[in-house]
Amino acid sequence: MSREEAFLKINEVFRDTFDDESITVSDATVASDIDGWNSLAHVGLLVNVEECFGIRFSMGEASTMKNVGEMVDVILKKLGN
Amino acid sequence: MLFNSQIFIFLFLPLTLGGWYLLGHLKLYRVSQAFLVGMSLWFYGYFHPSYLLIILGSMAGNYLISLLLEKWKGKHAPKVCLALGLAFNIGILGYYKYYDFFVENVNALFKADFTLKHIILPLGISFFTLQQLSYVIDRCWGTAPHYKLLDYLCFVTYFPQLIAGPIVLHSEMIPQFQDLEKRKFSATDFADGTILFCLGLIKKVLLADTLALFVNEGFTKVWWLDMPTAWIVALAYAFELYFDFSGYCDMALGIGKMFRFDLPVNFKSPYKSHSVTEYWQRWHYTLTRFLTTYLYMPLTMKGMRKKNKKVKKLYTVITPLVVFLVSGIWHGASWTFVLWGLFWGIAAVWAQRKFWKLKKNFASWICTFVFTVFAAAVFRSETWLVMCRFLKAMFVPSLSKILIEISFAFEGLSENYVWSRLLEQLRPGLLNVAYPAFLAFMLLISALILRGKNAQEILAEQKAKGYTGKFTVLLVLFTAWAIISLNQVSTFLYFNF
Amino acid sequence: MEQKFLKRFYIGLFAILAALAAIVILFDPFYHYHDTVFGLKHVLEDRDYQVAGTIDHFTYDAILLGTSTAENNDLAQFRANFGCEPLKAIRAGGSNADFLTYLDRAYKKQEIKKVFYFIDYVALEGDLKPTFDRMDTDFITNANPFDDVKYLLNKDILLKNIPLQFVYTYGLSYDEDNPYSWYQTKTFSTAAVTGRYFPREEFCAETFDQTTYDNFTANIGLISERITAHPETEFYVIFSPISILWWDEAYRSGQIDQKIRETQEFVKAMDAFSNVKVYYFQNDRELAANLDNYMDSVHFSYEVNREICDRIARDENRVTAANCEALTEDLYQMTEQFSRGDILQYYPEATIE
Repeated sequence: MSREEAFLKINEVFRDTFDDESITVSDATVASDIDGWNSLAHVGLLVNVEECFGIRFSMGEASTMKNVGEMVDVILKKLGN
Repeated sequence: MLFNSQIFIFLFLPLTLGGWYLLGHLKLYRVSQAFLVGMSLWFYGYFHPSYLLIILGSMAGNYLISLLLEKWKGKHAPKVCLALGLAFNIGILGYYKYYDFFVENVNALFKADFTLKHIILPLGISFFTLQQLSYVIDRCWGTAPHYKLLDYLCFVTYFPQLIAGPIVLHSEMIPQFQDLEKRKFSATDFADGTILFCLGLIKKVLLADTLALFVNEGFTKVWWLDMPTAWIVALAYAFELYFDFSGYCDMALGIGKMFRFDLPVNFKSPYKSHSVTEYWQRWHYTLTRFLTTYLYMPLTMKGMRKKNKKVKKLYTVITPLVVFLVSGIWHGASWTFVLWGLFWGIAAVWAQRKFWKLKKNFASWICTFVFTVFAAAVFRSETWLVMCRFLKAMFVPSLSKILIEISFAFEGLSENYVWSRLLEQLRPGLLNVAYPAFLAFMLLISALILRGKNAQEILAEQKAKGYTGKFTVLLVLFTAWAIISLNQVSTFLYFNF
Repeated sequence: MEQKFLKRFYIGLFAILAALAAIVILFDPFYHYHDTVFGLKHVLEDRDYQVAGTIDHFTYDAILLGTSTAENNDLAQFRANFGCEPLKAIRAGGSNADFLTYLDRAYKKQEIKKVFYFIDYVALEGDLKPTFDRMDTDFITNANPFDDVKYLLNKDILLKNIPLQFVYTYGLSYDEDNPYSWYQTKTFSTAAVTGRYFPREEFCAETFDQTTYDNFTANIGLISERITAHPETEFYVIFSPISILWWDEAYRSGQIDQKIRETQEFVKAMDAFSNVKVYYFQNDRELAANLDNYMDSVHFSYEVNREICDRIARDENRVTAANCEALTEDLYQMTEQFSRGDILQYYPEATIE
């Protein structure tokens, strides 16, 4: 999977999770950029991402991602790219 | 040693800063780090030299666990070490902080008669235990490296954050210790540090300690409180608690800055919050961060991955409760703290439901603030009995003149000495008006300060403006005032006349 | 920019702190550096902080040692009766070692003509250590100049003690001859005392506490050392009266015999010195059994202090080894008669059998 494809997919997860069709995420997107991205929503998001990509984050990975870019990196690494 | 003491301000701090920059200037970087550790241990041992054994033991244990992970690359290593780390840290904390509490409850429950040990809580143990626990967990999660011993010692003992936080993470501190660029003196950072330290000192000594006179008197007279007084005492305590703790953290950040190390900001005007969740992002943020990362997130992840919707939902309710109960018991070994945690937990569960989507308006602010004041009253109650009595006073309408009597607590303030003695000679009746008026004045000042900019914002503003003359003069005056307030003449009352 | 701020700030701060310290050094309300200046009155209200300074810097040739019951002594009366310039070195709730620390401090400065030592059983039965650590007054009593910062930069000194010097010199009246006194604010009456003392219901067997007795004799030894070392000083040791209610408690709890034995030991030890006179007021019915003289079972009125001072000046109530046994026996009789009968007029329900 390419980075672009991953971004497309993850954007959908964001829109679903936050119930907001106007969201477009980029590498630098962080929690404070999106309304309602609190710690509960964050975990919901991670679990939705896990389901969508068929992967599982470790606690270490979950606790260290600082922005969407890093999240995509982790996903791609998990998928073997 | 406390920051708000003259031995710290006139002896310890200048000595430590001087030694640090001198050794740095001589490029003796490891020596200067060792010097900092040594001074920090003096700072800590000043309270009670035997506590040094506890902190040294705690550091040794955690460092060994990290070392074990470094050497042992087996598949089960992270899990075993995690269990070891949890058991070790919670064990130490459990023994020193909760042993008596536990035994008391066992005795009460089973009518048993185990003896209490009356262990005196070693200072800062709650803080350095969490700090190291976070490191060990990070090691086991694979997100932290094994550090050199000296760096690790610096990270744990660094005296500005040692006894009352902020609860720092290895990832934000150790890179700073390793950055040799930071060993050079910087006037900018020193000015920042000075300002933060002085603002904190002023908040702690002039505001918190003054409000404390009234609050303490209010809680000793808990049996006679009427409803308005109970709320005023609780309000004054909420103010006191903020000025005390955030003032102390400002001092910590300021001292950190003097050494050119940035500590995380712990307080961001919490009383401006519009919701419970926002409050905990602004109040004691580093504790919230710890609990979120190491308790809330793992539990919620577990819950969210469940397929069963009911179980999922149950997790979203239980998790905040668990987190706040842990927070409560962490704050102190007593049932009042547990209850305090429970109240916050319920509020948090409530807050995360969808229907609690209040706009940021006056109503959401006042609801949050009143709840905070209520919770502060529970937090301040030393015993269950005092708490029940206090809450009864808060919620069962009554009216008396007790407020006047309690406001006489300000009699002890030397600022009030001359005018109150004069009034006593000339118009003694007016004292009944004067002290409540002084209370109103203190509450008003506090409210205005809380409405205004916080220490960080004041600092940013002054940097932008190039430190105005007016600001400098006021800072000098209030700092001097705070410094002379650190000492008092006490009276030894040996018999009850 | 930052450098300018830092310079301004630190110079300003230190200038202010130095100015404040200079004010404290100048007016020195605890007399730590010098005697009073500008004709300001000696305002003595913080005993535990001020005694050391007054010993070092006041002019005197006699010293009063004791606990709270000695606090109400009138210095003018001592001056008139004994032709001396007295100083109060009182320590309420203090130990014998405290008094002797003060005495040694005074001797270090100068010779002393007269010492008035007011006996307190608690102080003599306690251990041999000074109690100066009970409060953080060390900075004012020790010679370390660095911890003086606690005195020099101290809000209470600046806003309370120094203004008080002015208030009492130019405003309100203040009697310099009654420092540390507390009688002005108390009520002395039978009702006050009986409201604070409640007799035990039973009479215990006589007991003897070896530890307190050993402390007592060791303390006698410490006092004797000073007396031996200063033969030119006249020592007046005074067994002040204690209310009959206090003796009633001693009698009922079975401790009166020990008190009497201790008294006898003390008097016997003092007999060896030609520069000591001991005075005994405890069996004086007028002073001990008249409860209107008291505010509680121990603390008596200003008039009692005056009476004691006059009688000592007339050399009445002397006790020596020769008459000690008779006087203490009389005390015992007085107490027994009270506890076994007279007490009923104050406590109709009291046990007397």
